[in-house]
Amino acid sequence: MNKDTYPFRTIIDDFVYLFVSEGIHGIIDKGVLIEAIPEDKRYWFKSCYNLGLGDVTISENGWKLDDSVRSGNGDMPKIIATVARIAMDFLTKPPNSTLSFQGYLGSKSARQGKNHRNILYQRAINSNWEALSAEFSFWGVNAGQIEEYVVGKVYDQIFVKYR
Amino acid sequence: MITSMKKHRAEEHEAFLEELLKDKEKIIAAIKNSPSVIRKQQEAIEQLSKLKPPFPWDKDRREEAV
Repeated sequence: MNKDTYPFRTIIDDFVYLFVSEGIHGIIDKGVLIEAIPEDKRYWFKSCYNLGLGDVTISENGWKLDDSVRSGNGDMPKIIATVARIAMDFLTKPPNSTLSFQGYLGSKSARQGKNHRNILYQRAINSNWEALSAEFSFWGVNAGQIEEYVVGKVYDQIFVKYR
Repeated sequence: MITSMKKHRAEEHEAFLEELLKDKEKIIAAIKNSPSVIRKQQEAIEQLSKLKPPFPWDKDRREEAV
């Protein structure tokens, strides 16, 4: 992927990634947390991880990662490209891991029946499909059904695994 | 000129991250315990529970094991 991305810092043992977004509203700390989805004996979610992106903000209760913020910093393509780069970095590490990601569904998105962040993630995947699909396998979830990822189709949830 | 501006920005970014990482353990714990992270994990578990196994990525693993 040859998109412009932000440099990021990794806290490797915990799969916490930090980077700084720079745009029309100045500098905003961003965090990505990749966490294992607890295994369930019935469903066997083996080595399945979930990716969360948000602003690292401070509140009266201390630091937190907030995925509901729409920072509107004018650099969303660069942020999404950075998240894609982080996901690629992560997937080469724990063997056989599968990464699930699903954008935050805010009230505006819910009203419109569209997950805007998923659309942005998918745009990044689709526009780099040739390079990404050579290295990674993708699946999409639509109405509760998993299928091999089809470029141009809109999905509720996306899974990706290093080939 | 542009190169020195870029360098300055990179230094600024680095300083921000350094500041944030001063108390690394605290930041990690705070991030992991964020309400949005807990909600997202819960949503991921629920979403996965709705999907019917076997999952296609498990098929890849089985093939690798053979």
